[in-house]
Amino acid sequence: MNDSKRWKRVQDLFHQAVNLPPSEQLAFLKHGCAGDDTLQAEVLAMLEEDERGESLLERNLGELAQHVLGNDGRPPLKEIGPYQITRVLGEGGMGVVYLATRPDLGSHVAIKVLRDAWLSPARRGRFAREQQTLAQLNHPSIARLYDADVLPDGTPWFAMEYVKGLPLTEYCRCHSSSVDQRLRLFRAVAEAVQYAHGQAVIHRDLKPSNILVKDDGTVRLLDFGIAKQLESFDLQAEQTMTGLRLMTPAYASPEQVLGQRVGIGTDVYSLGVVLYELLVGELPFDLSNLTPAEGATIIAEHEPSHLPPQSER
Amino acid sequence: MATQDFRDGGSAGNAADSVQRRALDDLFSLTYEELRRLASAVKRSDPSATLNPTALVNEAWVKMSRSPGFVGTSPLHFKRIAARAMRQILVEAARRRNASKRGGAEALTITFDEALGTNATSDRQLLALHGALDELERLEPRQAAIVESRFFGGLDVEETAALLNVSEATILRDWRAAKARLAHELRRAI
Repeated sequence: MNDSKRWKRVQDLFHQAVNLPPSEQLAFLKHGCAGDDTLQAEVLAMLEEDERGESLLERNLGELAQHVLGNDGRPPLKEIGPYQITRVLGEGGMGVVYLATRPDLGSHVAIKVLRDAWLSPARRGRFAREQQTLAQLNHPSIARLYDADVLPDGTPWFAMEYVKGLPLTEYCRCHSSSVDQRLRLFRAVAEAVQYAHGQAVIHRDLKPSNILVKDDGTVRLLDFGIAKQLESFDLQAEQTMTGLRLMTPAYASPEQVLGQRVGIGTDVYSLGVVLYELLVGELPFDLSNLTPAEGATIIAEHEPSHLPPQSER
Repeated sequence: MATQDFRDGGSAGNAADSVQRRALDDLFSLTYEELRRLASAVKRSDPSATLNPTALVNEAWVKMSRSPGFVGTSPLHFKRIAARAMRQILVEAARRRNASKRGGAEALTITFDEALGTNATSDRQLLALHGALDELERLEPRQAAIVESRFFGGLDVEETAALLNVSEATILRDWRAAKARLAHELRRAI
């Protein structure tokens, strides 16, 4: 009897025995296995496991994933190159961003580390592209790249300007900014985006949380993580994908939600949404409680509702 | 390399394959990133966060169904592929952690954050399950597909039946026997 046939036999006996009262199972198996003790032991062990019902397979995969993705109990990273880590600023799918200082210079930086670089070439490629994009952009309103290297195990990282500030919309709310002040800030953002476009870079994820206003009132554009170089536009499969899956729906352009080719108009559209929010105090479309497909239809086919007449602006 | 399994699966060469490979690599990355994102939300005790692979696979479908690499793929078949991606990611992560504990060649020298909940048993159990599933696949491929789809992809009985083109009663029967067998294998391995 080959292994597959044997496994069928084991299962037959298991299914027959599992419906019998426990007191009758052993007698049944003794008869059914006809002296094959290994077979009998195998079926009995399965019956016991079935009764217990406590194996890994009964557990929630999420719980398991959490354990497996956690670290192995050693102390966390303390230093990256010449920098000492102060704390974690944020973490996402791609990696972790740390606040760090350089003791000899006393300066603060934000360091982005690609987590689990081994996982896929696409991730390493995307991380490297973000770094290249930052290196290429040199503008007072764009957080700049300072330094980049790899950790001893090959994990890539780069250090960039640490921006302490509030998201654009929140800043304006907190400071009860006038329309004039809002427009001034927006103009500074638009100029930075125009500069990036001049460098053939599309940001593709413009939204208030990526546009910070510092205490001194200057703005900084952050997170070129899914930015695109215009030259690589022929790689349509890639750009469509990345654009689709990583965008933030509320600020996404019709071409992004439809998975079509993006251009500088994509950023201009997102800036329009930000401007709308800055002036009206809410988003042009309420996409909450909608499925992504419904949201996409609204973004692609609808006009924003007219402003309420009482909002005299 | 974890994604290697995908690449080896398809024949190499033409443009359609390259689109397909890229789509799989994207799926792999997306699944991983979503897992990570959820894990850190759970760690921060974000009340809305649950690490729910079923929702994750659905989300991946919503985000990727328009990708050129998955055009023509049915939602069910996509879930099957995503379940496999989930299995590979978790197994690869468990392997890496195991290797780093033993100080092996692939050892990680760095740790990024405080433990999400350190549990070495989970690593060993997952790796043992992975091996036992490979063995089951050799004996009865359909049963291994049931376990992979249901456990790693979160497919329900109805979906699994439709995917594998058998009755729900067969799925339930196969699933029960497979669980008992794998539970026994796990107990022996650990």
